Amino acid sequence: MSVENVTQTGQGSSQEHLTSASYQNNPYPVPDSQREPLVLGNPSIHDVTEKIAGIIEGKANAKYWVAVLICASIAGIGFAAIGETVTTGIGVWGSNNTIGWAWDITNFVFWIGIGHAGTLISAILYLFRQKWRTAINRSAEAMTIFAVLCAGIFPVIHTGRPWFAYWLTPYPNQMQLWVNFRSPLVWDVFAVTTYLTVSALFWFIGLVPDLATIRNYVKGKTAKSLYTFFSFGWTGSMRAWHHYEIAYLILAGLSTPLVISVHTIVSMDFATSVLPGWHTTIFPPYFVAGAIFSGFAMVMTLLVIAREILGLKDYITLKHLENMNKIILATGMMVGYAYSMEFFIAWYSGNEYERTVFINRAFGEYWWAYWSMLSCNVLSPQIYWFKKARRNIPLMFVISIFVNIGMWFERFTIISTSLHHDFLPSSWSYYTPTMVEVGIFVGTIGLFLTLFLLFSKYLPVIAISEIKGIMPGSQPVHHHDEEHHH
Amino acid sequence: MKPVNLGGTQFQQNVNKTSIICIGVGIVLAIAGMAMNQASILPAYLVGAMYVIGISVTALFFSALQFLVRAGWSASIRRIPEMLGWFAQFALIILLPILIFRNSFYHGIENIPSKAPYTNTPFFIARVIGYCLFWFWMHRYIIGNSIKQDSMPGDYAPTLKNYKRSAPFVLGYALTITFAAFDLMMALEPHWFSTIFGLYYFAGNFVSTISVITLLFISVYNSGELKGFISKEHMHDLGKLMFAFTIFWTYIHFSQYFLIWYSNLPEETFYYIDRTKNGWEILGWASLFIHFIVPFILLLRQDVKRNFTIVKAAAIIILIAHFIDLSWIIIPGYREHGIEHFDIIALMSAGGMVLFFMGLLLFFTAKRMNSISGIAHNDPFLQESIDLIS
Repeated sequence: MSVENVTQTGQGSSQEHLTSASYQNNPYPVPDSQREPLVLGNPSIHDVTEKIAGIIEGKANAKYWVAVLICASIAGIGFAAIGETVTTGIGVWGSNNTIGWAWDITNFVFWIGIGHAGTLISAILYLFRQKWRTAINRSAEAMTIFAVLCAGIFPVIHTGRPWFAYWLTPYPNQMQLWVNFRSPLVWDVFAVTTYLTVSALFWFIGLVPDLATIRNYVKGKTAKSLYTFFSFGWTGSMRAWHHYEIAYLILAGLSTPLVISVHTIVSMDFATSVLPGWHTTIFPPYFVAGAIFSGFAMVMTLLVIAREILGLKDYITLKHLENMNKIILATGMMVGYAYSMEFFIAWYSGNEYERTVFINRAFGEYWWAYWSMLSCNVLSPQIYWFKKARRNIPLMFVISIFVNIGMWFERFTIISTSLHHDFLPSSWSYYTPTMVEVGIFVGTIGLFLTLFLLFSKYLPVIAISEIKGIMPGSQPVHHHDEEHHH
Repeated sequence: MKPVNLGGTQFQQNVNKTSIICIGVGIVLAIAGMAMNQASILPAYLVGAMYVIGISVTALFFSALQFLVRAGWSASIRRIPEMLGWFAQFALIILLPILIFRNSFYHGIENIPSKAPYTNTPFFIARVIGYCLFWFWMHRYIIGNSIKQDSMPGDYAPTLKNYKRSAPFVLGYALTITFAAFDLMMALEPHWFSTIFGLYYFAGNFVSTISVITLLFISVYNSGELKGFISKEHMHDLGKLMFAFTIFWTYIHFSQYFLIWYSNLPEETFYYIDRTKNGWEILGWASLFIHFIVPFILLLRQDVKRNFTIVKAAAIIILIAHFIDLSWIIIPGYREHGIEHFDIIALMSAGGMVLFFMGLLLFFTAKRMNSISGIAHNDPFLQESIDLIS
């Protein structure tokens, strides 16, 4: 299979309606480096099923269960810390009168942001017809859902009495009490729950054909009946595929504004206030770009490991990783642009408070958070200007960790530095997290990883049907030299 | 593959004819408006300049972006923005009156001591010249390499150069267009500031540029000059981009308006208060309506993006909306200098200037057809573009 043929196939090109009178085929092939094949090793359609379904049917080794156990234990620490918070009260946190929320909201925004890459890959790249998304969309979408679940924990426990969390939803009641519809925090409740619902739906719809493949593949009785149940009697008929494709497109179209709305509203938690450092008009697109940036970093962190352990290097190729690194560079530049605009306009505004807050951000008590953010988010991805760096696996793993850290610090910087110097100097304060808070955050990491590990064992980590759809021979193609059939 | 010469074709004549009409009507409207209300001279000129510079420079960005993302779909239509971008070289000439009469254009920007290190006239002039030189260079480099490829079949050196350098040029574009928006439009309100303002100007430019590309595309498609290279599929994709980026513009505009409205800080709200009283709210409502609602409804369905009449209508509406939007930003900035209330004459002058400048843009675009091929005929992705299924 020559590169040229793959290129042709990648386009799904069969045009009766377009006949070029003077031009038949490009006599000069596309430079090799520009259209690399998306699946390596020339596997057959059957090989793909064997590979992905084999992961599920095969027995997990002891190492896997040790990993699950470790992650679940870490999650357990988190739940213990949550227990401590709920039974004793929010006082076990380091928040004070001046800094009324810090750790919890930082982590909420951090996790919500992580989720955004999944939707970008699954929905927005789908609308843009980016075929390389097929190898990574399933795991990225799973990650979205797990991340949103982790995020949801924080506002719920910050209510102090989580058993009353349902008060966040507006419902008619005899006390005539309603949520404050003017508060962005309530919009968050609507946005995040809608987002979680649609993401889960989107993920599940995409899973159905693959679950049917697994159903036909697995041998165990319980497993077979479970996969049978969840594949909803998928037959793979033309009609079923037709409905599926339409549903998928509509959900992609719905997810796109939803994902943007979620981080837009998260940004409004801050930007609708009158606080210097929080109130600035670029916040909505800046937060969306930052969310995608952090999400891609997390996808990178997980996939670099997963492709190694699960042996998926032919499916999640260097090309995929390079593309993701390009997106990390691009979105990193976008957040860099937003940081610069904030700083410049704070100066340009001539407003003393704005100027002070930003100078304090960079050189005040929280300088370490600011410079961690800047070096991790803006400086570290600059290495991706070089192709060699974009294709260097150890390096991209390190950078992805840096970006994860940097994006956490970004939220911490925004939240804490704007709060700790109140308008009234007598109430200036400093925030340090308590062990309980650290425990909750570490616990969510454990929960996230546990869920991801379970996912990677029990569900197809790669969209089998989609990967087959982009493989050579799966589309009606005019090959100008030879025919390829699998 | 052989080049396609659009010089002397029906398409070129159509573009020429349109340009002459635009220039003629534009001059008449602008002169009449300016004669009736002399206070409208400055805002009208500024609206026209920001309109045409935005579109021609963003056409360069559009081309660079195609190289940056290795786009396959657009190779056969890329010459349209590349011809439009020729005009970006003249940005400095268009901005020259603004540089010379800066104090008349921007009242009081220099009188704020705390901003003076940035807003002083020498630095302002140096910056604006810098932007124009960058755009000149961007055209020379990106479009230059694209054209160089035409004469080098099989040797992709120029295209590979563009692949390599398009990213820094896109970055430069982002910065220059942002600061151009700050220096040439935000400066009308010396005390006002908004971090999203550069992005706002970009969003309007991008969707307008796509609209101009689409209109030229439809014209060349109908003339049949590029038969075999372009198809309805390309229009479908352009339609999708138009649809997506009208929403993007709305999103950016909403972010700015909503956050200022909600926080209600007097140091920011005066900008919108002055633009929603004395009749100026008409423009605000109009831009919401025809920059968002109408194109959104028009372009929402899948099949309409393949309907020439509807796509054409949407493109024209978006271009009118962009004019209304820029007028809404710029003209009320002169409320203390002769245009206090909503002024249809001032709008007419501004519309005349926009038509005049757009006519010039089209004139030079048509002229460019004589010297370069209408198709990037040695582009590595040309076949991919011809084979496009949207």
